[in-house]
Amino acid sequence: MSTTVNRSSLPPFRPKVSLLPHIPEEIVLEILIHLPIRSLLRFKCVCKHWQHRISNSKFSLSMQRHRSMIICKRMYRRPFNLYIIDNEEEAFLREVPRPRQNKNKEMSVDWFQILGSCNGFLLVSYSRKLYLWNPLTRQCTKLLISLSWWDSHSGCTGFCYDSTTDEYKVVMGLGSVVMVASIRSKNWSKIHQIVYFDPVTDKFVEVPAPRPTIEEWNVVMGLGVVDGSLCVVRNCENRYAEVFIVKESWTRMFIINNLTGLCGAFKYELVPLCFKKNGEVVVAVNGKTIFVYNTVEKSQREIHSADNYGEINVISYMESLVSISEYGHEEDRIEEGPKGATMNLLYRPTNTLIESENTPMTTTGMRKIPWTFGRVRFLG
Amino acid sequence: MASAPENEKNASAPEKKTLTLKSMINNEEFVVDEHVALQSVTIKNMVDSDCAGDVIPVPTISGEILALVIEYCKNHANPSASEDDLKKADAGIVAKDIYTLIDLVLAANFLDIKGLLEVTSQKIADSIKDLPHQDVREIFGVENDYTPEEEAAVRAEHDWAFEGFP
Repeated sequence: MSTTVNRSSLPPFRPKVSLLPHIPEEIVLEILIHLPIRSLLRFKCVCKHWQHRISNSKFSLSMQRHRSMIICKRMYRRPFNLYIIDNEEEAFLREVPRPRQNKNKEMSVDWFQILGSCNGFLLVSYSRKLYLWNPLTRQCTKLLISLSWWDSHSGCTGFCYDSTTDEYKVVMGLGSVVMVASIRSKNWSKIHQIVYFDPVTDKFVEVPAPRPTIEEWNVVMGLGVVDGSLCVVRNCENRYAEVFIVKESWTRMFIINNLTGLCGAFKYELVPLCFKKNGEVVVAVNGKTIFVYNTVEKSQREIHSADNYGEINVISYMESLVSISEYGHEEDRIEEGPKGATMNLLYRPTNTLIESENTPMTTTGMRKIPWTFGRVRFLG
Repeated sequence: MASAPENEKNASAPEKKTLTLKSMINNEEFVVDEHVALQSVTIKNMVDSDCAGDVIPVPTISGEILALVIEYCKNHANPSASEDDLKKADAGIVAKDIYTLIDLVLAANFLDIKGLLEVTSQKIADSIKDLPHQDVREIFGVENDYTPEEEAAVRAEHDWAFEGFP
């Protein structure tokens, strides 16, 4: 409330004779585009039409926009701090006000996380709720989209805009579960795409996923190649898992009943490794443990487990005598080494897009096993 | 009036073609070199389609404003003018009160002179950016169609932007 603008700064009102002619829409827009943000926000109060014009997303996007970076600094039990670095000016940190949860209450000590950015909005989570925050206009809107299923410490996220439908979408992934919520519909829907890499064309090709038994539970927990066939494990209501295999078409092989016993509270990955003749199946769970599950007796036993901070990389492979020497690479004999290639089963959280992990082809170099791991993949 | 001797001059030096622009508001006439006038896309289209007679009537633009437009066109038609010179000259042209600027931006729009439209819009924006929205309403002759409650709600959305304003 320091400087009050003196209304006498207004030039004397012009004589009625040459009173303002009608100013065409395009000129008003041309003038508005040249105004700084703060003035624009105030001029929303001029009239409803101006408010509409200024709030219009096409108008906002046609303004000259700066690229900048927002940095969040979190400290234990202290309010987080937000800084901005303008890419076009000399690089220095400028503190920006923390967003407000509602009109008055500023966000402070809870867990604040920036999840993505698009068109000047930042998608942030605070106290396990999602917000869309525009640091420039300082508007912060709580999204009525539930976050209960998501784990802020290990998920990956993205935020994007579809100009054909004028729709913003939140993409969040946890393990092999990837969900998309549209800002309009306010609902999550699960996205699943199984893709394989075709070495002949160097392209990813989509495989139609097996039809879900329970429509809302189309959650793929793991992909595997077992005996040369693609195999999919699907989570059903967090209680049991269905294992499908490609024969002529998708065929349900069996059900794993004791899902909680196998996976514990976090049921996000269950990769089938091999089937035994006696009805046992070997599975890798959450990148941590290898279990043998008996489909007849519905029992399981652990055969190997990583320690708390470790992880297990595992892949099934088919032995052969082939040599790669004719391809002209240096031969480097490994005395005692891993039997087969390892595959990265982890997601790397990114701020912008969920990327598919770069999965290696079967290292045997043979076409006998056409399937390799594909991951949920998003394009722009 | 003044156009007759100008025409004679024109006849004696045929390599320099001129056009006469006439403000239909106060009948003021301006004789300008054709290449200067052709910076206006509207005039260019008229000349190209042979719609332009000896005198081109310009409706809704006063002589005062037309003089500013022509000054701008002359400056920008001069191939030896440096970027800096032009910037300075442009700044001089738009150093006017808000109402003249609005007339000028309308003229630039009507005559379709992109550069002039740009500098004038920028200048208008600069002149109104620190005004209270109530004044902007007055300048643009906009009727306030908000109820006091509605206006307060819009204001509350961005109350920080109103700090120090009535």
